[in-house]
Amino acid sequence: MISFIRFSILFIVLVLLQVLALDNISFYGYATPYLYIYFIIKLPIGINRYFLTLLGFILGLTIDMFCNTPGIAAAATTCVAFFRRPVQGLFFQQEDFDSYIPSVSAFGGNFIKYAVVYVFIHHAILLSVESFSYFNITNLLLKILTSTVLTSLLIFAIDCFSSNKKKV
Amino acid sequence: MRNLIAFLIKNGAWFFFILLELVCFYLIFQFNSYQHSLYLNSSNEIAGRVYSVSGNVQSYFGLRRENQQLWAQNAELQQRVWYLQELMNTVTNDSINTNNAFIGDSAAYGKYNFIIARVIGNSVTKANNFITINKGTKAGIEAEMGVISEQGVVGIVREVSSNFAVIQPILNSKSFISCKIKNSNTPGTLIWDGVDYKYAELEGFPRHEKFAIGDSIITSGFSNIFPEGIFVGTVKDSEKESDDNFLTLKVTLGTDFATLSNVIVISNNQRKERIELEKKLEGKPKK
Repeated sequence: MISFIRFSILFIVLVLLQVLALDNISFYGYATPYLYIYFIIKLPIGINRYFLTLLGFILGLTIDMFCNTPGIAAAATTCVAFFRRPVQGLFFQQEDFDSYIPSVSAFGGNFIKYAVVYVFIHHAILLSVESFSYFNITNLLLKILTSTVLTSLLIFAIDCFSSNKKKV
Repeated sequence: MRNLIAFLIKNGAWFFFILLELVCFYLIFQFNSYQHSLYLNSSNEIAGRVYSVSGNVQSYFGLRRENQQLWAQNAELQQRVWYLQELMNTVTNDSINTNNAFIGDSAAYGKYNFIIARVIGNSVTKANNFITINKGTKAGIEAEMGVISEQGVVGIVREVSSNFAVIQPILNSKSFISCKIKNSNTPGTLIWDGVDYKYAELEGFPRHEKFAIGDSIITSGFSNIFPEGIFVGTVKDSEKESDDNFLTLKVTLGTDFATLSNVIVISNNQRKERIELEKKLEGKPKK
């Protein structure tokens, strides 16, 4: 129950942060952080796959509603939510699957690899679908790479910050 | 049969996933068609409220700059009033001229109404950007109205709810605005290439037509959305199109979309009349 409330708050905070602040950021016209994907990254490891996919869909749809991009964020977020388990399988050790919530403090390097690859997949789908109307491959690749770096940095900053607080 | 059910159960997650993705892509393509009644955009009440609260807070940060702009605009308008007054004084000396000079003008400007609104949601980083404003049908805004700012053209109203409206700015792949170079009557279409929010492109400009770098681009007034002569931007550069007879002009947009805070919605009283007239013509069978 407590974790349910915690994740609901995380959901609302991430959506508001995204639509009110982060969406307006664009470093040199390329890098925009899409931090809301952090919600999917942090969901408990043993979560039901149907529920996880549905949560991804709802999260994407909420972002879409605010950003006037119907379906685009939803398509990307649903896809990464569905393929979360296989991506985790690539990087996590056997014993990692016993813990509850993925974090830097518990998994170290494995979490970093998992998060970067995960963010990259999400951004690649999101920005490719978005750029249907103006296809410019160099511009698209630059956007995907710079945005991935920016989002990943933000995720590590927040994750380290929140896990340090727990230890104290 | 049992095998089929077992197969469905085993791969249920996949089917669920594909179903949701289909919904997403339905939404994406649905939005591409021009007339859509989907309520999934920021003119709905929830998104509108959130944006209007954040817009209220943000509007305080820009007050100083806004004030300076108002002063500048005020000065310019004052100047124009003086100029017009002087003009009127000279014209009233000759009563016949007065009548001729004003009959045309007042008819042209009387058909437009202006509604001032505040920007509460905005983006410049996406391939298809939209702007949300804090007024809707209650203030008399309807879809397909033109939107300008004190710096130049902004875009066209796309969706309206009772208290909010969504504008499709020039910075959108679906925006085509008919423009021309000041002092010339050749129209071209203004589009955005999706890269930088400061520049757009004027396509289909005939090569033989004269222009200079720094010339003003204004609306052509051929569509019934914008009146003629509203500032759009200035020419920055030109390049050849694949067809040798036409040029593409790079245009520095007059409106700074990143810091846009107030807009003016133009409602055209005669628009309905014009559309009905044009429809009549389309309905008639060609002989």
